[in-house]
Amino acid sequence: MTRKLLHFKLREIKMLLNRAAAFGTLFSLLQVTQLYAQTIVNGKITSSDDGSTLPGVNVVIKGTTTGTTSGSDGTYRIEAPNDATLVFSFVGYATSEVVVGQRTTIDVVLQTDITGLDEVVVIGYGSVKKTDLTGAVSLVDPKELTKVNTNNVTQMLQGRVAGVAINSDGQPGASPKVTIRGVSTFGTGGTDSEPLYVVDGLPLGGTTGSTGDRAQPTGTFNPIRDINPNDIESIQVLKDASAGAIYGVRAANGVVIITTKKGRLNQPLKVDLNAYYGVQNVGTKIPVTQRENYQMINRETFINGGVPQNIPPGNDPNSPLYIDDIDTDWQEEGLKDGSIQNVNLAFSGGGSNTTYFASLDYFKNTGTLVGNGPDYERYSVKVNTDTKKGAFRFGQNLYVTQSDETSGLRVSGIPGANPPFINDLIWAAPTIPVYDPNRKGGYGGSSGSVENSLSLNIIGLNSMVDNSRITFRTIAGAYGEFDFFKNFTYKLNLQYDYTQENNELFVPEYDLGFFFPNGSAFFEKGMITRTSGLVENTVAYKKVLGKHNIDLLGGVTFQNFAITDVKARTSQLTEPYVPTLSNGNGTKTVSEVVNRNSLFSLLGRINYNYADKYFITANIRRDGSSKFSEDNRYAVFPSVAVAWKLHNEFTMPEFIDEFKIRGGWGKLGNQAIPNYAFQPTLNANVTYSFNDTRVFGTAAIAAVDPNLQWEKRSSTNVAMDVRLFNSIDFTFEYYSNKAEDIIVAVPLPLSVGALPASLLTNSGSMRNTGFEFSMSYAKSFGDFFIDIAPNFYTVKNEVLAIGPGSPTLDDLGARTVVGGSLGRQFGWVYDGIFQTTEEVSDHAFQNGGTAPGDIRFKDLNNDNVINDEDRTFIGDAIPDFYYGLNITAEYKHFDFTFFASGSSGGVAVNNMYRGLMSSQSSGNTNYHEDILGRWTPSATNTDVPRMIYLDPNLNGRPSDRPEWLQSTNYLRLNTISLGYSLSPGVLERIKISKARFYITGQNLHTFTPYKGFNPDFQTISILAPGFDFGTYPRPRTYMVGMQLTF
Amino acid sequence: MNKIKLYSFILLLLLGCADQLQDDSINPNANTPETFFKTEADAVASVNAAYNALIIDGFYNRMGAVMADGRSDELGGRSPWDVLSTVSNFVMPATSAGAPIIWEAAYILILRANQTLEGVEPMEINQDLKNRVLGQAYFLRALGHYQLTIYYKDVPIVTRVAKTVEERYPATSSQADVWNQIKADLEQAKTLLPVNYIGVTGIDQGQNQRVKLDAARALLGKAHLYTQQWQAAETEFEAIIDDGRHALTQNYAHNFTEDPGIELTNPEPIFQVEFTNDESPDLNWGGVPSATWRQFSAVAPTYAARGFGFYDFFPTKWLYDQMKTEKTIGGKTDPRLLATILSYEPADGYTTAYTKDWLTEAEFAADEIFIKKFTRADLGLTSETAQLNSGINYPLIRYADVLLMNAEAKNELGKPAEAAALIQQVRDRATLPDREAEFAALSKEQMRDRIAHERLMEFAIEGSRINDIIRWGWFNNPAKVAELKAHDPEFANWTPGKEYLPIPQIELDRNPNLSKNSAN
Repeated sequence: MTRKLLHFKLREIKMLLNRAAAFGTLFSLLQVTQLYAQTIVNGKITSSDDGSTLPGVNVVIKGTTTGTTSGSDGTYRIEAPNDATLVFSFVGYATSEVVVGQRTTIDVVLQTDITGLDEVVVIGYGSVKKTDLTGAVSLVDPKELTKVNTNNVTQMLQGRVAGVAINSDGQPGASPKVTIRGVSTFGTGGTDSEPLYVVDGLPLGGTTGSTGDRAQPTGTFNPIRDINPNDIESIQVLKDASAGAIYGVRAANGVVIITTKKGRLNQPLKVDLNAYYGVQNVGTKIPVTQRENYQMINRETFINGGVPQNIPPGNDPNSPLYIDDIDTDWQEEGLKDGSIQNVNLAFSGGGSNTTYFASLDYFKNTGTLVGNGPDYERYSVKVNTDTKKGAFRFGQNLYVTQSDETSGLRVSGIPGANPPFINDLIWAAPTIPVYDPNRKGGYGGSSGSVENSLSLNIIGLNSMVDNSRITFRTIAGAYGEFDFFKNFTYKLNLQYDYTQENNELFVPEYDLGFFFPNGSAFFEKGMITRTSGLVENTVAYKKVLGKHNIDLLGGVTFQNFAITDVKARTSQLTEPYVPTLSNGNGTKTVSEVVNRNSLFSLLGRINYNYADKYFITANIRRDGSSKFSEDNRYAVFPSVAVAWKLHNEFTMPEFIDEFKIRGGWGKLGNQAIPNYAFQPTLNANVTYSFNDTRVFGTAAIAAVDPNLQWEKRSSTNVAMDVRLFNSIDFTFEYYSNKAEDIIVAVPLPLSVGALPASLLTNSGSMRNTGFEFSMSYAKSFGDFFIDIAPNFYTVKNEVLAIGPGSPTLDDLGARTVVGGSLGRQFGWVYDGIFQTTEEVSDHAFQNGGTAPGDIRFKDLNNDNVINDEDRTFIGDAIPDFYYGLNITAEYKHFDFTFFASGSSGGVAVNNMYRGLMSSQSSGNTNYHEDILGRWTPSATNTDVPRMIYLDPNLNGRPSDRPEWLQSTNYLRLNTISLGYSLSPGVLERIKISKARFYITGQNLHTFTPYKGFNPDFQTISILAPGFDFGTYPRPRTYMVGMQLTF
Repeated sequence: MNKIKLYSFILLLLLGCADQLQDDSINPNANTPETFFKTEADAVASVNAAYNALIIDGFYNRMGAVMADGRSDELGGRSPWDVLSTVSNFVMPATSAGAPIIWEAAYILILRANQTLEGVEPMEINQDLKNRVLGQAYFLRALGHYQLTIYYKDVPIVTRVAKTVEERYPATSSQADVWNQIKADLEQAKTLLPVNYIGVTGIDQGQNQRVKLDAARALLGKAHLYTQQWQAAETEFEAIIDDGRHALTQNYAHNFTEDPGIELTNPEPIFQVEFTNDESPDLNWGGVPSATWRQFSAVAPTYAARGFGFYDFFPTKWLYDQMKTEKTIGGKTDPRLLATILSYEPADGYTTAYTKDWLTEAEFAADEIFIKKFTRADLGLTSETAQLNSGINYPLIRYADVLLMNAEAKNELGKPAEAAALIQQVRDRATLPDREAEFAALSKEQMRDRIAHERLMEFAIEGSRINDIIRWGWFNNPAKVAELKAHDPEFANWTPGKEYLPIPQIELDRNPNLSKNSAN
């Protein structure tokens, strides 16, 4: 009793303390600092847009740090000398400069800046004006961000930034794959092609710790996934080395810098409520055969193979076991409507010295597959505050989130649960019932003696298996800044990122038929803790000397990372199940892996411009990384970039507002490889048994290169930025990136005996070149405003070196060789279908069983036999070009958004489709309706070969037969949205400052010849970019939403 | 002064960070090689790791058994998986995922044996223990090369851990050289191995399923048989018979049980690979070993009957008929048939499969036959997952094999009477009639056929048959080839040279010093 009371007391005290802390924060927000008086200037700032007053506008005396911000009614008050120039700046508006003179009242009308020329771009450890950029930095318009409804930041980049490719699938909680300016690593040995994400100065990643299981793209940790997009103020993408070199050994794949929202000075509490709800469904149906055609084709396969006795009795009308009363439409049964919803409540504002931003967010996405998920749900809280006083500034950021994910079946260890499960749903034979009370678990399955089908009842499996991941994450940080001497600023930035993932998997005993039973219930629990700490000291120097603008930066940073991965498992749980580790009767196992690494770096930057004409930026970073041996620990990454504003140099024709050329060069590194890879270690868990007792052995099982180093990438960028007619902006860029010392798992002969049979060594080289073009036309015509922003880019990849002896890197039907691009399709060349036995015997020998109806392959080396020597490169998976189109239109209170994107020129292997078109190893699973057009003696005008058991001619081999390589050209209507904002009059009455309601359709339609779900599927291997293993369908979404501001 | 303080502070900071980098660079999960090969436990652990290669897919977990049986005339294939169907039809392409499976496993074994040999040799530890460890490593290295040459014929010999670039790309050796290497290793092993592990002192005491002296002798004798060194072969087999440490077990089926009580007391296995019935989560197909590896035999699910496993293979009708040709003294079916083939034998009281009634519950036809050996057909298992923890050991060399191999050597040496006595000894265990006198009168050629038949009865589906008919030269004999085709229609697809597996294409791509073989 007393104990309970005490507990209560403690809780109460805790709550009180929490409240006190909250109030304390509020009080501190209201602090006011005093200014010294000179000449007092008053005024009101209004918007050119609608004449409304603008709170929070920065008013600064030019050339000083003295300034203020406008209050809630748009008024300001500042003491300034008569000869001073006041600079008025506000996000979304063009900066205005006014000389004070003798006036004491200066009212200013700020022009809306639809071009963002004065936008400030965060470039890492600092920021510059967008117009002063020298490197390749793309900015995602903050206004655009609000139009994408997604749980994932990276999804916001799709189709919007030239040079950035996003490949994703539709699984709730899945993370898209982001590729900036092409892949420049082979991915062998765990190297990663993901960019570095930097959120409010904290570089994420380094704690990813890939599981190495490539069949589980969501099984790995994506550092950006749980960051709430609603909190984001801006995203900038550093695409080239001249911009990225400041991030050194982690920047080779590009850098994505994310800044979260902050409050504004002198702004009363502003409350934003954003919410949307949508329904999702799978918009594509794969046409598969229904029962009668399935059975007919299946019988034909065995009859053609000369083994009619092998026809499964269930498919044989002459058998008493013939199935004529089941015709399951698995897609109909297994797919359901999903939903997506989000509620975000944000508070922001500020006093004259302190600003605050706080948000509460709830996101939920339920998947489209029947059963226990995949679903994803997230709660998050964000608090940012910033305070300044005199020469001091400090701030804190806090982000706390919990996400609950039921990740479906992307785990190993479940019998038959070979991901991706969508394939199982499509492949399942129609003669199998969804439910079967006679089987343990109650779900249907194939019997070895009736259907004899390797069909997995994924509905059953997904309903019986529980697989969940709960991720807790806290990112907390604080910074302090102070100005010293003149022009110097010192900044200390401390950040800590803590993530804990709790994974649970429970698999009950079940019988899903032949090949898919689970005889022993088991429970698995894993906890992964990932931490990262950052200590960052920088000193900045800013000085204007006449026409010379100098901006210097130097810094020392230290960041460490640790991952502890603990997993335990028990089996033989008994019914009624209570899944805990204590309750299993079978073998209990436990494992732990610890990973640590750290990075110690020195960095420096010079930004200089003369007369706003000539710009030069030079970066340098020296990284010391624990991932490499002492001899290879330190690396230096320099870069330099120049720009020339021609419009400030020469007199330009009237219609040219801006004409800038720029170019840069630099070196970057990639250290995204597994920890300790340079270090030979012993495996002490090499088990065997003597007399039924387990013993442990020890061996060095892997081959290791002790000189392993980071990958290097040098990049060159030239570009042109032009602005015409005060409404058209375009940027044209050319880049050439050369990656060297790429880590290659150089294949070792198997006779070496090493596991894996490869040696990680720095031996590869690759070049990516391309053009990027992005444009924007934005103009108002009275009440009508339109912004049309297309972008287009190319990526051309060429492998320059692989390693000793120039080996080939083969994966999933793709081959990588020097002189070609990554992972081209490799196989035999289709040359039609044999129509007669004469044609077979006249042609080069293919196989003893080759007969009419089989595919004729080209005898490329004319040796009269078709064998491995007759393979060649038959297709390129990497698209020739990518494009995106954004159109925004506004008319009075209506706004309209259209967004489409696509790519062209790639071909892919559609694994799901091949499974449906296979007669060889399909295990009596279902067929695509295209198979009805197969070759038969009476239907010879076709390119689909005959069906035959065991496929003696190997028609299924990798080849360019028409249906085997499919074009991945696509054009997707990503977003069409229509919004309505209430008029100021109405708002006035209901005491709301802004209200917008909208309906949005996402992923409405994809124009593509591709016969799978996602032509822009996420690959499972860098070396096989054109292999679609089978991806979760991206759902079509219809949603309604509202954005209210109080 | 302040400046000095500041600088020393910065210096300390930098040095501190450098230390941190060094600390974080050291793998906290495993030891490094420098710390190893210090103690007796290290030496034993090193050779234990080599044994581990025997329980992966490419060895006796599955393919090492299945790829031999599948090619023989004992089994027909019906697997939808091309790796198995192309093997059993002699059409496996070099690019098949199946081509490197055996190859890879054998070289993993060889690497680990070489690590033991190189690591333990310079150690200063108890000499007896050191000898035992080295002896096992020599045997296991020989076994690796043996497996390679019987599957692929001409292969590279690897007797060192590859340290230089050149050593990673060994050239193909002739089969004769491979046999010489195998014999040399086994001769070494013979000088080092103990007769058993009961009487030894050390941490391996009592672990009697390790490689023993007789195992080295038996494999050496077998190597001599393959190379037709009859006299040398006879010497080894006689030594095993003379020392009397092994014998035939009374119940033939006891060689294929997973009952530990029977396994431990069975005097027949000379060397067997040990599997255990356990449920650890990671199936021991291969790859990087972990403490959570299961140690099961996948032969069970692969061979299991329709509805009880993958049913990838079935016994040929010919094998069944062969095993039915002779009745026991009591007029019953040969007990070896009942332990080898799962069939409906009401006359012998065998009317169930997996404890279910053959006709009504298992729904099998009366004339259907399935594989029984290495499956768990007696246990009443209803699902394949239960097959995924079979603990049935794989007997590499049994005493019965020594007897029949000795008979073969003696026949070639012109001692038919002695051969006949050995043959009858094996038949006696199966309680078949005494035909010793009849056999003693056979010609050398007739005796070869008799031995072939007796080996078929005794070792059906134990990976022996295909290698026997290769070494007996049947593939060079059109009459024998015609017989094989009659036994098993899969032989129709055989073309000369394809009795071996092709040298894996990925290996040819990687190693320029490697030659193709007749199956490429």
